[in-house]
Amino acid sequence: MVSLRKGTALDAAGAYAICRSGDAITIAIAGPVKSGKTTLISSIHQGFLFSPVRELKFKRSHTMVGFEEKCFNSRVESGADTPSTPRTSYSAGVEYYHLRVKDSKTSSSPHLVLLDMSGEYFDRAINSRQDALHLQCLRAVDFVSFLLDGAKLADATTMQKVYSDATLLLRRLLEEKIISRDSRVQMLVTKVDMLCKEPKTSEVEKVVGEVARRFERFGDQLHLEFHAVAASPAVGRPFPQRFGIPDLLRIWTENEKKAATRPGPLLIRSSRLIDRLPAVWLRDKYALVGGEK
Amino acid sequence: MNRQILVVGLPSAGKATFLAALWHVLHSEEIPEALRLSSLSGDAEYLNAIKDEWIQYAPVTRTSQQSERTIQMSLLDPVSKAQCELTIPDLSGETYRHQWTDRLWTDAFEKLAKDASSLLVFVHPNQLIEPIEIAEAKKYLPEDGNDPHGEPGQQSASVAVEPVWEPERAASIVQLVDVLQMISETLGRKFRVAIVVSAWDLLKDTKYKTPEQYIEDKGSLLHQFLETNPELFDFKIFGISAIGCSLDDADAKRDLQKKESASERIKVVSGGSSTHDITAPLKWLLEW
Amino acid sequence: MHELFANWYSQVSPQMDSKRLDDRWKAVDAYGNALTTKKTTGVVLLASGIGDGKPTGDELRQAAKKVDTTYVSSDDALELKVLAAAVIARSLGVPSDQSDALALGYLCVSFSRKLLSQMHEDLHRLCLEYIVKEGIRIRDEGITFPPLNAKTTTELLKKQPEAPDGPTARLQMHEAVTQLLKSASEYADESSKSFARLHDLQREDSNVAFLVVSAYAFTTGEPFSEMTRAEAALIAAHELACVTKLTPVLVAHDAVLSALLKHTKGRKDLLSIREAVNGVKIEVQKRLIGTAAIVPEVMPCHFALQKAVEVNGKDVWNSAFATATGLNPDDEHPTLDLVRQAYLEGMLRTVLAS
Repeated sequence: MVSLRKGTALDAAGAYAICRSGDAITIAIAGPVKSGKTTLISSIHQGFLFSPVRELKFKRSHTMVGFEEKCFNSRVESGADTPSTPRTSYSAGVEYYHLRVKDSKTSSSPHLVLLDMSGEYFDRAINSRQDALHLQCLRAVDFVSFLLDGAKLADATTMQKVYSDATLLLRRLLEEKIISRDSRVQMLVTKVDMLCKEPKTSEVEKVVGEVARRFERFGDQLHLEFHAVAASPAVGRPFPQRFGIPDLLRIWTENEKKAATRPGPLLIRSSRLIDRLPAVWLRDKYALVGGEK
Repeated sequence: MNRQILVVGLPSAGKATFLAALWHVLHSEEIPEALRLSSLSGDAEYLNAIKDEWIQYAPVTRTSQQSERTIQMSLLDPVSKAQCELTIPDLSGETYRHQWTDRLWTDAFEKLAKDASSLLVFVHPNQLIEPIEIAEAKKYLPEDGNDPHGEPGQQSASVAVEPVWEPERAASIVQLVDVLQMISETLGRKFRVAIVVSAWDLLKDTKYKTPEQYIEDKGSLLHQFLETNPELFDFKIFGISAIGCSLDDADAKRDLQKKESASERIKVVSGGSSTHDITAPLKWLLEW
Repeated sequence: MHELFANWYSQVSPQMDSKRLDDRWKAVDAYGNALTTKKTTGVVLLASGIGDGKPTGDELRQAAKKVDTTYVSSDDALELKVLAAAVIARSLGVPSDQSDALALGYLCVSFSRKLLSQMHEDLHRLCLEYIVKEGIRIRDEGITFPPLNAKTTTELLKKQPEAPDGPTARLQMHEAVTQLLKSASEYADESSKSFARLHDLQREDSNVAFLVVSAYAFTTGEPFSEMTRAEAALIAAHELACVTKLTPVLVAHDAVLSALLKHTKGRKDLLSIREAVNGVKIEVQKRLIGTAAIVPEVMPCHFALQKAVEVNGKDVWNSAFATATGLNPDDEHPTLDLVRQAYLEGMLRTVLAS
């Protein structure tokens, strides 16, 4: 008998096998328990079953079984009356879901590697520095997409806690140098159908703007991006399935890189006058050691 | 020229019915342009048996994993006079189902896959587990929760069911694409794939005028997969009605029985054209 | 292990696997130990992701497989890139001709290419720091005269508890004389090297001073004040490269080049390779390219000159240039950046030819 690829979520070794090619874009889906991480991941897969997602077409996936398992509870085939999503277990650790797409606009074929871990990791990291070390895997990813539960934001009794927890987590990640100004951190408002009556751009932008204001304090330390999605809108809400997902996929696959923060001037330590000249004539590029003139 | 075509399809995809109709067309020579049989290597008992079922409008016996066999035949193209030796491993749909659920295949299957020069992939419109979401389905239910197809005054009972995930309950098109992924990785080279939408007659009153439209819509994942991997696949889509009508439709059966030859009940559509030549997909695959 | 290697490698392996990291570093170490100056261009191209990576990629794979037999030799473009970058970073820790070639090569290949990644930024910075630091060291500290270190017969005999017998004494005398001669020979070698370097340094200092003060180009036999900026760009770079005796660079190269350009006619803050090459007459183009080898992707300015010379100075070399380098010869750059690039290319050619 020949063993085939398991098709379930990849472990670190599986992610390595994909990332080492250089065509991979890694996205960490982060957020507390029940914020919508698994729903987001499953809806990405589900979207491609019905049609290409704008210019993106399905090319390959090493985790088809894993994706199907995540989607199953939301389908008629499950026999359930209401859609649900299976809980990601803390003991499962970090899991990676793989999807390779073809962009018909650019002809590129990036691998998307979605990093999924139980919300408990993030809940614990808020309270414990030791636990925050488990989030080191977020350091090297291309995107950290942090989920803010829109249903909880819509409820006055839970809204403050959402912001408080998110702020604490961002602080923890900054302190542990897991994220920095050079990182791409996205704040995703999930279940935005609970915050807006209609999927009008102006309404959604208003909600996103209000959320962004809550994180202005991080302006100097982080470049935060704000988006809204409704991966599986509640029945009766006039939002299409997977609202906001195509835009998110576009941003991820474009993966626009910007130059990292420029380091300071080159230091010159020499007693010879001729060597010290650059620090005199090109002060923005060179400096003398010890700030000598 | 020796060619091996691997026939791929989940259970009840229509492979056996196709084989039965094919066998009839090959040896009856009722369709002038169709491929003809030069010789059959080995026993014809199985093929004659399923052909008899087909010709009498009886359900064709599906191949089980226990009854898998390899069919070898010498074929002649009456137009070009070209000859070729064709091998078709007749595999059960369960073989492919188990590849998806158990993540294993036999050494024998691996050899078959590596020796294949092309694939014939079957998709049956009624046999697909579709990935319909509960939220989407509910949009089409009346607000009072009554099943519009139920008895008047009867409320549909809402029973809380705990979902139990089993791999065989995954969407059919996902299972098929994953199997094709694994086969293509094993082959490691470009090959031709003929996609056959079987029981094409079932779709005659639907919005799908061509099999390409059907696959692009209902089999979108498969279509995307084939399109985005041109370095691996050269593909063509066929709609085939091997039986000609639904076996429950007595009127339609009667009409077809009036035809001069049994082969005329077969319909093959592709690329906007229609023919009775059920060997058309094979001819295309054998050009490779 | 270089302090940045784990960071760079995390792109390849999102979750740290210390065994794999160690194994890869061992491969980098082994490869770096055997690296010759000739092979440095391959490493530079692989680290910057240019070209097909052969044969350096295959060599690095072999090195990785020797340490870790599970290394998969396919779909590993990023991993090879990181390993090549690690080879460069490792080498920069110890000054040598190979390190000079790697640092100059990486700086040259980065010209006009958008290599946007933290690893590139880190490596670029390391190379800049290296050429500045090494440029200073070779001039400040590189001229040292070794101590004469020989045991004399007396010293040897002093240590004996009692006078040795005849044969032993003769043996010891012979050993002492041999050591003395060997030491003297080493001393003479090192001293002559240091003298030569001192002479080169003095020569370089005076040449640079003369160049700056006179602003006269020997290549064309005219002052820079008679040239347009486009004409002067590659000539200034060439002049400075000729007077720079000690590699990798003259530390003040930016400042000197800037000073030379100040004299030119007109003000042209942006310049393309095409303008710079076409600004120079064919006879001068030939003098600028010299005889040392030119690697297109790494030395675009010199390659453009070479192409121009091949077509006798006519302006028809652009598509051949673009095909070979992947760069657009009409892209404009700050003039000083272009001139600096040409200078660094010149120094790299010197190192590779030595």
